Amino acid sequence: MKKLINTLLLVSGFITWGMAQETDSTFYLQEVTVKENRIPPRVSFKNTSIEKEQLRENLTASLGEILALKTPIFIKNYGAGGTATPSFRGTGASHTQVYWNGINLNSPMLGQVDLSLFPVAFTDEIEVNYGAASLLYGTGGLGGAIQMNSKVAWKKQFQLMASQSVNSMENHISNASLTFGNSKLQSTTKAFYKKANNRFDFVNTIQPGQPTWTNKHAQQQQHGFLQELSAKLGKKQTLGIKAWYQQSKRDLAPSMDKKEEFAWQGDESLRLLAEWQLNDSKKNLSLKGAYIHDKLEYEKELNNAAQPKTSYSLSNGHIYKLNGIANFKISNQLYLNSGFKWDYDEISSTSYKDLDSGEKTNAHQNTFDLYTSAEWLPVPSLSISLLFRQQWLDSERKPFLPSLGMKYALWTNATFILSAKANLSRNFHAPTLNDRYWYPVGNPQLKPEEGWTGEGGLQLQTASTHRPWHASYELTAFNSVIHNWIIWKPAISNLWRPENLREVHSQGIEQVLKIRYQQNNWRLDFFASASVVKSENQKPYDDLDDSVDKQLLYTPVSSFQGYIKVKHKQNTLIAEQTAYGKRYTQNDGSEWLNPYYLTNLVYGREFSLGKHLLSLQARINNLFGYHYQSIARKPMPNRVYQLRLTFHMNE
Amino acid sequence: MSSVVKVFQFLLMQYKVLIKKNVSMKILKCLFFSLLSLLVLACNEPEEAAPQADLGFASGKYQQGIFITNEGNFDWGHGTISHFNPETGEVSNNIFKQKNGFELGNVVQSMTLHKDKGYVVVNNSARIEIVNPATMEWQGRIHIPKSSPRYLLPLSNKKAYVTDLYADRFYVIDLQKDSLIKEIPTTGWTEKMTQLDKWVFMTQTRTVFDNRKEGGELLLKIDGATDQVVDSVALPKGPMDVVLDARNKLWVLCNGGLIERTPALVKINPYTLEIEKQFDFGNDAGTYPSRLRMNDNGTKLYYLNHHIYEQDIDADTLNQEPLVPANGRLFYGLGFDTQLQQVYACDAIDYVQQGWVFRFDLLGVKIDSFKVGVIPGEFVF
Repeated sequence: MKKLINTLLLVSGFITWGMAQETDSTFYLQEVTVKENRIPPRVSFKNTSIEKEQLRENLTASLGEILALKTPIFIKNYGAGGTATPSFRGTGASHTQVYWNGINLNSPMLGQVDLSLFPVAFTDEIEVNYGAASLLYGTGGLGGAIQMNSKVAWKKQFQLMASQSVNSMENHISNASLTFGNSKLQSTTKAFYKKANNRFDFVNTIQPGQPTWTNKHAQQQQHGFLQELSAKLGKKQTLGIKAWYQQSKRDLAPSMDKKEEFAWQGDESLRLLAEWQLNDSKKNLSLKGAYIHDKLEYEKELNNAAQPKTSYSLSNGHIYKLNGIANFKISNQLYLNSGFKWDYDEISSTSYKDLDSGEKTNAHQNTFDLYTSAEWLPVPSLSISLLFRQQWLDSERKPFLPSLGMKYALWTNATFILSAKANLSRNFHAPTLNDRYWYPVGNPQLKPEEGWTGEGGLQLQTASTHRPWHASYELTAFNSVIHNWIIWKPAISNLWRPENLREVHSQGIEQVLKIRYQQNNWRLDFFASASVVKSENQKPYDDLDDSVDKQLLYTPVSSFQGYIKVKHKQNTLIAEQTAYGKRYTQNDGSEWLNPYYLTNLVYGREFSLGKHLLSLQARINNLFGYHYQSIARKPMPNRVYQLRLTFHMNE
Repeated sequence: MSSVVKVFQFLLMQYKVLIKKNVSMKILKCLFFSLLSLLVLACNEPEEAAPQADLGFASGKYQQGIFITNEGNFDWGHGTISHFNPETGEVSNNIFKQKNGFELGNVVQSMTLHKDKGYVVVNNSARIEIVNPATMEWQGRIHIPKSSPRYLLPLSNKKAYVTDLYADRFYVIDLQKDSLIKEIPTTGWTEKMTQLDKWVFMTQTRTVFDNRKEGGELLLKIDGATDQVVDSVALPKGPMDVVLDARNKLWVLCNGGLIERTPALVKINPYTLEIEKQFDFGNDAGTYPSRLRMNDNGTKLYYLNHHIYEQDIDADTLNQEPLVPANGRLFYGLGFDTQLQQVYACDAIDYVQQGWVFRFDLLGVKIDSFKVGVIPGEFVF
């Protein structure tokens, strides 16, 4: 397979060189990103970001789709258009925390998010915090965290964007955004509409005669609206208000074992956020208040009556949050950062009932969280991060979380900088409300999942001089043990309930190589990320349990993400490659899914219309029509063709 | 690092040379062919996308011995059938897939043998697969849309009843045309059945999420000729299993529901539907009796309640002494081999791996154990 990938990369390299000839003479201006003039937080931990340009290239994608292409996070897809959940560094879906402008979006019921529901177009910046790097933002990110942030440019502007995409699965996505304002007031409005049939043919190899079936019970209709308003109060203070409404309704596609399913799921969210900030050369204060309403519906038809009996479940979550952060620059060598978080979650659900009366009850939880951290640079080549975090859940004190990291510049010359990192942290993940209150099996006595993570790494990068080449290589190794890992398993008969049954040892090596060549009208980007993660249960449930020392379900040991991108004037050609190793579908390894390799080809061209810009993008996903499944027996599409037209006014 | 740099510098030089020579067409041709060859390399067969497994040994001969149905995981898993030959000790797993090359679907709830045919009821896949039990060769299927079938009871060569978990009905199946004849409405989850003369006795229960006021926990008496429910009797919470003893009395095991926990073993007169005896189990947490079975001559009952219990039909109290203590096992299924007078039980471990079957003699002494498929549930003798 390595050979295949190598050949592929080489060939795609040639493609890019070949295609790039079709350029015209219009001069392309490289976009300039302005970096904030402050110390990057927790430099001794691993953080990566997805560049704005890549967000634009994947404007119609979901958060799950872009993460699968650019990060080592493995995304499990329950079929095309279905729920997408992350497995980060070999952990479970609820061990990846997702933040929107610092506000946690993980459902307090499920502990996780459905990454298929977040349009990339609604965010200006995506940052990924690996492992304990996420501790700066909150607890629970045993695998890590994903940040979706909005950016404000304080300038006089009036920008309009409209985009339409269509693909061969009969999926249509429309996006529009309007940004205007001046140095005092800024407004951004974004709208999103998706109508997806997720229709494709597949050979059903688990049915008699291997018939070709059409995936046609997977329709989704989703729309969203985002309004952001920011105002400068004087020179130092800003006030921001954000409102994000989103609704999705989708049919739940059947597994390959049957042709039809009569079930649908509705997801509706309203997220309101108000933020006050004070920035000056010595300090940075921020206070955020948020209200989130999450509504989740599920319905399934259960018989053939004219008015069929249905099973219906509904849950409404009302989540209130207050975050405060204070950053102080004590000196050029010492920065202090402290903050608090208060969360109140109230869930009403058809699945939560009083154990005695059987009457519907609401579940609620109160979380209070304090942290303090310091970044210290005793000498220019050394940076030390220290963090302490303490959480109380319903007034019960949770594990105390210390975190210490160091980064040291080992070697520097005119061409290269070599630095080393090491860090050690403790983290925990509290049981979800479903774990605690699901009727009638919820277990209020569950202990939090907790453990220590150690990480070490080397980073080699070229010095930032004006040479045409820029390259960086990062090698990171981590080791983590998670105790009291919660799994759902039948306690009596066939009724599943959550228990603190496992101890999971997860260890891995991640490598990222980035190369950029930039000269005249040319730019070449090469990105390759290869990871090997072993994540295994250490604790047998009983003497016959054969899951010990076996890789966790749906968690590939090896994965690869890479791309080659060539830009020449208004032309862009991208070849993307992802590869994932074997994944077990049974805890004892008795059943598994084969490795899979997906290749995408993207060609984009921009047409300048005076002050405006029109861009056309053609994309082929799964170029070679590789047959694969992400979740067992959930069909995935073969080759998909997609076309996108985007208009930028005043770009 | 520098070697990478050199490679790219080399490529760039080559490219510049090519531009000068204006050989772009050549490159495109080259590209086309390398892409074509890659296509061949990168393609795989549709079978390779499906879950893979080492299917293990399959003897191919299943005239003698017992079948074990393994439910498989709901939605994304697949159920399997295992076979055990007590004479040779041979265990064959995945025997349906090994014979037919495709899968049964998920949640294989039960299998009923009738007149040289095996009817495999696949709950979440809403169908009944028909096999030749001697070879496991697939013979067809009966698909009932939106159904969640549980158990099948053949009444004659022509007709069978099929119960359903959610649909509030049971189905009448034509065994000659392999098709659905009609659906009979009930007021809850229909489960197990037994037949006496022309009467069919069927347990009706409620799922834990069923909050409706109407309907109840009943034993239904159905006229096998007209398919009409002619009578019913109210029972304690959760009637599941029903068996007929040597004295033509019905025994119904009520699991108590999952919350109320007032499980009971009830003896019923099939003609009058009068409750003649009722043994209440304790109310302790973990008391959850299931899987009521009968021995060969109809004198002894067997069931699971954490441990395996044996109960004489004439006893005046519940036998408190387990026949087989659980001893660390979590028994999920139970069976009685009427030929060899042996008790079978299975443990699904964590329900996401292959389960185990244990065989005991009538004194509760373990004879042997063997590994079967994912979530072994029922034994078919």
